[in-house]
Amino acid sequence: MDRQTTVYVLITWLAVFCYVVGTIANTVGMIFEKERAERGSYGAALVGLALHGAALLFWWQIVGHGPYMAPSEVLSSDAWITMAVFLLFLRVYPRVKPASIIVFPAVFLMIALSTMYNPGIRSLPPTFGSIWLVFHIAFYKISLATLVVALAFSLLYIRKGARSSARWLERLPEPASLDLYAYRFAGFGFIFWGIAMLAGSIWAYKSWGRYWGWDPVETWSLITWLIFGVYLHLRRFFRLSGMRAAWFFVFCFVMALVSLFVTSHMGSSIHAEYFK
Amino acid sequence: MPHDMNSIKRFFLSRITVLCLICLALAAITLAALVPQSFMTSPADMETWQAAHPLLGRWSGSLGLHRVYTHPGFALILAGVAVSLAFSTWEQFVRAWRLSFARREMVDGAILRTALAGGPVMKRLRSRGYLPVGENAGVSYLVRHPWGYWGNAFFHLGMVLVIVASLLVALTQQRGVLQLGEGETHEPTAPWTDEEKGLLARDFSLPCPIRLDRVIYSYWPNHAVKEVASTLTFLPGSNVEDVRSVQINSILTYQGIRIYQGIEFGHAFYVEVTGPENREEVFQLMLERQKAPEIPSYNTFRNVLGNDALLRAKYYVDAEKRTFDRIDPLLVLRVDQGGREVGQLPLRVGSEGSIGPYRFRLLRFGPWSRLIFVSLSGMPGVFLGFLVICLGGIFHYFTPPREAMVCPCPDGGSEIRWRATRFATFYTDELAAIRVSLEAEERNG
Repeated sequence: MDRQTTVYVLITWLAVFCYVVGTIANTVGMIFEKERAERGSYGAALVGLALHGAALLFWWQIVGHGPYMAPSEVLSSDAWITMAVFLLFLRVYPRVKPASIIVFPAVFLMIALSTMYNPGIRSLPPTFGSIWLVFHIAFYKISLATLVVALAFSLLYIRKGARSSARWLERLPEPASLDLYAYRFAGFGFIFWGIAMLAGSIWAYKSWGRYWGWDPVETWSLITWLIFGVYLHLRRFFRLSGMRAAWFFVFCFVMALVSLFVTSHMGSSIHAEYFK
Repeated sequence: MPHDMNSIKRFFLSRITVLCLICLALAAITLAALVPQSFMTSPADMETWQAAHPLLGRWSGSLGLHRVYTHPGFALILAGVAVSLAFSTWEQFVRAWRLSFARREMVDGAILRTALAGGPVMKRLRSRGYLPVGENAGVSYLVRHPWGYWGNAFFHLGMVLVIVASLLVALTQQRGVLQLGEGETHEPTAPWTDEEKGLLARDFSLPCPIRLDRVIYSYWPNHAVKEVASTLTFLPGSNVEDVRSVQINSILTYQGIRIYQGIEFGHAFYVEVTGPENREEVFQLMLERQKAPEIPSYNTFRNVLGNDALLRAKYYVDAEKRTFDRIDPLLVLRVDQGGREVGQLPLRVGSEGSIGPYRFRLLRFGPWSRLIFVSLSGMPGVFLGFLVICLGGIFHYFTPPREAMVCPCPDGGSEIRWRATRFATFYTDELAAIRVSLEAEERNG
């Protein structure tokens, strides 16, 4: 491992350490009602986010392209954006705080998975040199982040609705509020997913004169978007709510994961260059 | 509106119809993702798939599952979606207009009472982003993010735009692909290497001959392609030459035709073939670039030798298989007859040799590149539609309107009715903040 890679790995591990501290403090704070620990967890997450951001920028400078080529870069940037988006929402809407009990471990899981891949330097194919590609990827990541928050509320709803006697669950917002927050963040995810598809189609049109080619990744992305459309439509016009809505969202989220991480491995896809 | 028209509209706006249409579109697209589609699968691959999935293969043939996007059923679903969206867009616009410009009494919502008169209350609300939208008999109406009313209307309008513009693109697009060797000229009447056109489009031809002067390419240290570019000369008339270049992500436009540099390139070998009847003919054998100096690139040519004989070729750009920087190629030809190898022949430029009854001589070689020519209208409509969809979504989910109604009370104070039009519990903090702000104003006199 050369010196630059060592520095990158070291900073990343420092960020991982902060996220671990943040996750433990947050879980302890939420479950055992330790306000100091909970407050501290956000501080640790912020420090982790800063270190993590520094690591990503440092690596960007070394490899000469954004964090979207190697699996380690992809997962690491997904983790960073999820944490950044959550902390940003937390600042604007403090009511989303309970989601941290799932968002923090999710971020830790993503960055931990990223460290299992070799952070090798990948070269950038010439078609990847468009600014629209950066928007395309960035918006999918932001969408994933908002969907993780929506998933957190759906799971909290499911847990709270399971008639558990756990005291920490009683401190969570009312089930109706958890349900509404999940709906709201699913809407955010749906919009960001749509913007990502738009940016992707502009990129494709500028790169090879086709805005839509029914490529497997494009097709599964559209399918996922339509499934989210069905979810939102059912919620708005058929008053779908509660446990059924929560489980339906979990299904939508799994579809989103398949779209983002599985279909891009299909060899017949032009996206196969990404995440090889 | 006539009664029949009203029932049609009601049918297309019914939430059950809308849900069914979304689900049908979803099912069709999912089916097309699972069953290989003939427009993007080679006949050989299609046969392999059908052999591996006999039952689905039979259904695919009889139900047209391998051509979902050109199936009349899919066109019907799309038409249903488009009609439903068009009615819905109109309804949403009428509703948004009514909410924006025709104020009504607010019957629900939280109520705040303050000793402050209407003026200071309005000032406080304005400072929190509430815009006055109307006044009626002393009652003032304010809305924070009034554009949020238009979210759904824009969202639906965007989808209508995308469908209409995509249809226009699909019907009128002209697309041709050329694989040209360096120095080669393509005449407008010559056939394309590959061509696609919409149902209403005329045959696609270039306005003048075009010559590929130079192919420029470079590699990253790990042998991945870094850059591909071509220098082209347009020949609109005798003694007139117009030299232009095109490269990936740098599109060239010539007389309304957009020209894209394809990622595919390689080397073309010009081989003189003498058959058993002593007839000499020169063939251009195009092989795609190698992935690494030691890994050859392959291609098969079915129509060169005739007589059921197949010509296979592989090449190394550097005969020593060490680098991409040295261009000294080695071409290896192989002839198969009746599924059996007849022989192999390594060739360098100028050398010759025989395989069975065929004699081969490598005359010269040079790079080739793939160029994509596109002529279509409707793209601004597609992108505008996407933009309007996103705008609508942002208005709807990010800026739900919050309404406030300020009524004067007989004691000189005011009553404020407040509500969030969507996601109400998300904004209860906002109501609390307004209350605190008004109380502070009261205290400060």
